[in-house]
Amino acid sequence: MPGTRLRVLLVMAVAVILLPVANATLIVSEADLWQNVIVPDREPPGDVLASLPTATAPPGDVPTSLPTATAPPTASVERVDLRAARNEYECAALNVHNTGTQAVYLRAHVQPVAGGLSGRPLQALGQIVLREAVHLRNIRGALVADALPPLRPGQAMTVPAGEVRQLWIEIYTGDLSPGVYDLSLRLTPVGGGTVEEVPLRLHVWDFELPKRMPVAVFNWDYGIRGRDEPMRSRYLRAMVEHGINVFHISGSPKVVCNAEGELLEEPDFSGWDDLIALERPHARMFLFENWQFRGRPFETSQGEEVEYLSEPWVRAFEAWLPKFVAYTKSRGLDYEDWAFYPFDEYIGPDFVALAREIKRIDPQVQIFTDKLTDAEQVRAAAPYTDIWCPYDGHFGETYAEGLEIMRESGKPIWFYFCGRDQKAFPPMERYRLMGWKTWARDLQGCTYWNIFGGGGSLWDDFDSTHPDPGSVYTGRDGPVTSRRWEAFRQGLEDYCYLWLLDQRLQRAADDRPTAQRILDAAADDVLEHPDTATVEQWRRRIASAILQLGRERQ
Amino acid sequence: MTGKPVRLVIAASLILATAMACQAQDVAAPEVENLVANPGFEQPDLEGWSRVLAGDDEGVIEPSDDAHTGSGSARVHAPTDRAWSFLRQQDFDVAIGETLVLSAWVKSSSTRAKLVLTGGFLWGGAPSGHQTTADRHSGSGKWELLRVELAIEQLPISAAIGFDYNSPGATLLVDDVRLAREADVLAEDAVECAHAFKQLAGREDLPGWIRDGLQDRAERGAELVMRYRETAHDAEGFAEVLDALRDYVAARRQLITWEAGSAPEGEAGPVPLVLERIRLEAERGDDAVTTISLLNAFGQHSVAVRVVPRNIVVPLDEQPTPAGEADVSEEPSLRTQVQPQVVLEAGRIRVMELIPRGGAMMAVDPGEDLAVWAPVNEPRQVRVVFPTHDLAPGAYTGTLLLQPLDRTQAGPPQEVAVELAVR
Repeated sequence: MPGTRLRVLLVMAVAVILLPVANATLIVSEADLWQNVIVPDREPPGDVLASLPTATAPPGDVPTSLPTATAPPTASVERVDLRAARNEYECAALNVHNTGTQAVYLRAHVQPVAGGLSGRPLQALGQIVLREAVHLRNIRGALVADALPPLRPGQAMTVPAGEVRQLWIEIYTGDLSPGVYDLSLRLTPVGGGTVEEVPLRLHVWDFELPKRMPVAVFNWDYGIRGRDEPMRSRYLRAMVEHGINVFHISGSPKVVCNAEGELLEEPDFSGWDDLIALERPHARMFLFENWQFRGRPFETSQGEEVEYLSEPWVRAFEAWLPKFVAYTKSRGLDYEDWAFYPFDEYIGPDFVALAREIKRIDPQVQIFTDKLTDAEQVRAAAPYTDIWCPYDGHFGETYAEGLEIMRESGKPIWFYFCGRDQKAFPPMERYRLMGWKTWARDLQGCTYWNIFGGGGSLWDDFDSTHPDPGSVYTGRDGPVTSRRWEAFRQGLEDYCYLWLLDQRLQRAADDRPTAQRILDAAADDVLEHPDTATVEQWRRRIASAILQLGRERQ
Repeated sequence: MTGKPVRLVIAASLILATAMACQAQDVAAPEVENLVANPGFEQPDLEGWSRVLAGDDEGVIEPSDDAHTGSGSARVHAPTDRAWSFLRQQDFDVAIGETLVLSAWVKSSSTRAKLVLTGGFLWGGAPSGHQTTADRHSGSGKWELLRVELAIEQLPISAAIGFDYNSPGATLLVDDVRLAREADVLAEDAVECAHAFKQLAGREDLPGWIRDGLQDRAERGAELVMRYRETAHDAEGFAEVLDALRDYVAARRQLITWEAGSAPEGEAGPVPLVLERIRLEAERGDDAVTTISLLNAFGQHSVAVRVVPRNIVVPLDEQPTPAGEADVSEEPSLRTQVQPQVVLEAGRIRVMELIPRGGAMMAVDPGEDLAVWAPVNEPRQVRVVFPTHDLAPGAYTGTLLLQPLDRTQAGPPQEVAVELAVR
């Protein structure tokens, strides 16, 4: 029997070597960017799903896909058009179908066609990144093409026989001159064969998205803290490039006092120095999430608790807060550059009592809350709250009264969503619409929990107690983005389009009813019809109105 | 050479290699005791079930004929955001230390529809500190199988399906509820696995050594179920049976992996289907190289598999005690605080996919994600290179993670131990 095994192994080795000789047929089609289910197909077997450690999706009802092309298109796409303003990230997704009987290995790269750059150098195109959409099984049992690792130079993309893979093209326009750029995506089979070419046309509009995001974009930082360079800077760069401008600093150094509340040690906040210095150039503001406020008292040197909000506690806090403020000033932060985030999703009596103390000691200190609940609690918290951040699902009738109190306070309102099973969240409805909702609700910021979080491997929803909520995956050289995070960024850019049009309308000398109608109708229609075609249609209309107003001003 | 002759050669070779007979002993599925009364709601008026209606008893819990199976189900409706509406059974005859599996088919358009299993809490009684686990519906509007597990630390046990607050207007249908002991469920699963392995072992398109391994797996499953039947739940050794069943069921969709040139040839006894250990030797300054083959034999479609090397370290038992520090204990479990000394960082270990080019194999970068695709029944090869330039002669250890990104097709991640000897 060992001899038989050896023969089989030899045959398999020969097969591996000889299998993929050309003879494959590639068809390239344009895909919906925000469909993470590339080819809807058969469902996974129910018994298998049920066997997953904590999978919750049922057999038979799973929104799933297989990377298998059951009915590929009959011809490749003739041309892919990308349209963008300056300083914008724009993407296209291409499905590569292998209708042949052998696997193909492709090298992909983009190059200008002759005369396609109108004499401008290729570097003028800014960054072009090619990515492959990688399928993985999420906690709800669906197979989603969510991870978007970049294709490295020389890397081969595998398309097994009869299957489809998705290639993602990302172009950053930077300060590219307005105009049309003709490019070509070349898919070259490793080992020979017909090179597939797909014409790409990039239209750069004559306006620029704002360099600084006009709204607050926060995220909880579970990616930078605790990382060493150069990874720390790579994670930060990814955040900044995805619009994040409000940074999260959590934890708080231990505060030791005696039973009367006199501080026995000088609080040492220096552990935050590096992070603040790194993030400050990109920061609209910081949120200090102070876990010690959540019912945990100051401690005596014997480790005994000082009762929360008791007289000694208040005395200690009175001494501690000015030192905290002095620390922020020493880091170059003024009062408007930071806020306390003392409790998570809670504005009950403990929040109000603490917030009252903070304002009594130093009224200029800002306080953030991410809770919208019944009107009574919101009313009690309102005098002390400087930034509201209710949950996305609470913008409705149930909490309308509390929301009205928030609006009447005149303080900024952001909003957020959360959830652990985010690999199952639809990229368009959950992520891209964040920008549109921010506009439609007339809010000043948005966020979601969270980009980097998770337990075990971020590539595996099943290897720890909970699935990974984060929107990135761990890569060899830094964070690997996802379709969801790209959708979030594009939604913020959509917000910038609306904001730009609004700015230009405000500056227009007279009424512009057509442009105003576009501005008034776009967000409502998109929220009612959250599909890629509707969003793209509105984006082009808005761009057209921006261009029209810009031309008139000149 | 074209593809067709190649396939014929392969097919002929595979047919020749099907010498092993498949004689796994059939074993019947054990009977799983369902602790829930009237699980399918076929008896009238939701007999055996209690209704929990908080608020002003605004919720609605009633029989329905929209069934997943059979003719009856239960309908739960929460009209306001303050109404708790749960269908529940509780106080089951179970013991602390047991693990229970609660599952139910639920249909709802609300993501608030919830299946809850609680220990140490009695609806309508005095609540204590309690443990709880819950699963929610996706809100798809379709029947979904919700499932939770709970290792019992506190009694009594409550099983409930419904809505808590913040669910105004939400409705669910529930059918085919099952609360069973994990051991029973595992044994049931193991029987299914054994049957599946036996069927796969009969596939003539698989190499003989893989079929041998599958046959062995099938027989092992049958043995395990027999052991489960023969061992009383409270007997010594039952925990061991449970662990074995867990491992067995977990490996039902295993990616087959082996090191090129060594496994699975020439070993006596059952053929291993997964690579557990790589032993490498190198002269200092040379690269230590291994080539790993992956075969997705159980899946229905291709799977991305990440090949992730971890740091190479000095084994703890060979690590010198840091100067000035107290001696570490000889007992390894007491030395967990000691960090192994890293001699080769993971980032310096190169991973390359071997792809065919012109009749030879060519090494290419697998990319940022370190993933290679494993199509069904097409072996793939990955080369892993450990540079030893900076390593002093000695023995080192590490791991290599083979991580399929779809467990339904290729099973859980495989941790392969790496033993590296530098001369």
